[in-house]
Amino acid sequence: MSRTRETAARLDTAIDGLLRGSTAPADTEEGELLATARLLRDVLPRLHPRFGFEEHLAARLAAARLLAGGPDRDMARPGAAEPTPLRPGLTLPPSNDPDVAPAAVPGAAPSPAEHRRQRLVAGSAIASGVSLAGAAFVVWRRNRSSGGLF
Amino acid sequence: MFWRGRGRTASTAVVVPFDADRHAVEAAKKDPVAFEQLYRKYVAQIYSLALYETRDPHAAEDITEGVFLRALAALHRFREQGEGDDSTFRVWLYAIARNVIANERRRQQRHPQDPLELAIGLRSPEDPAAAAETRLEAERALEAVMELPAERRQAVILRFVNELSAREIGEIMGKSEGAVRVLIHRALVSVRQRLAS
Repeated sequence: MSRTRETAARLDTAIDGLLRGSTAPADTEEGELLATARLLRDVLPRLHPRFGFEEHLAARLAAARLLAGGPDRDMARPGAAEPTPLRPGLTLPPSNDPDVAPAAVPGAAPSPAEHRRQRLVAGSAIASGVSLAGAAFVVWRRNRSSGGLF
Repeated sequence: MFWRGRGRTASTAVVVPFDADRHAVEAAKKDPVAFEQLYRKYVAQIYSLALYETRDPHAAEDITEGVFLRALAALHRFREQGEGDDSTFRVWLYAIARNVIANERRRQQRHPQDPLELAIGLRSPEDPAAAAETRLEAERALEAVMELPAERRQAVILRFVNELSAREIGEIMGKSEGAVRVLIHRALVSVRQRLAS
């Protein structure tokens, strides 16, 4: 490990303590940098959004959730969530949004949406098969009964 | 003939450690109404990051809105995959925020705004640093942070404003934990030199 990395690691440990509120040792090699870190901790507060905005966005999200569906609806379905935009151009993004990039864990179970899609395809195939079999049976019965009459 | 998986590597166990937001995330996946809990927890953190990065309250509101709408729309795709006791939902959310902010910054470069005055004007009146002498020091420190190269500035904001660990910041920025520590170290050296000059 290079000297810079060692120093940076020690400083990071000290910053951890600083952010937890413990008193950091002032006479360490990183003392001056730690003083700067303390200053930044003090002058960089967490800023809160306007109350009106926070509540407005909460309502906007609630509307998007309603439009996206209840507990069991597929939020990934295209067009499922198209709430009235708060500002022009802002709507619920598509589920394959490029800004949402993290990959899924390999081998992870398919999502409920994928499950539903698979079940839908399988159900359609079974229904088609049953219909064809029924039609074939009716044709066979007709041919058989007409053969008996003549 | 069916191929029976010859040549496949042995399946490896996927370690899924504890995520502080696991229950809230699972609840929100089952019922989107439960997403509000996550929203309330993180709205100020995302807004802060956006505001420090853009120095424009309106842009910060747009970014915050975009981040949470994207997170809500893509929540079903989120898979917990972190390590240790870090909140991986948090890392995921910040990664979205970073992308949205990057887009907004590109837009701002096309339509430049007056950053420094806005940045200083962001301070809330009840801020203890608003007292005259401290305020001057605060403004100088803030100015020094804002003039840092983008990656250092973002690492500093995530570390000191959002209080994320170096490892979480690394996951968000696509860097190693060591690289983030060095970024923060260099940022502090720059700020100290700037304040001393």
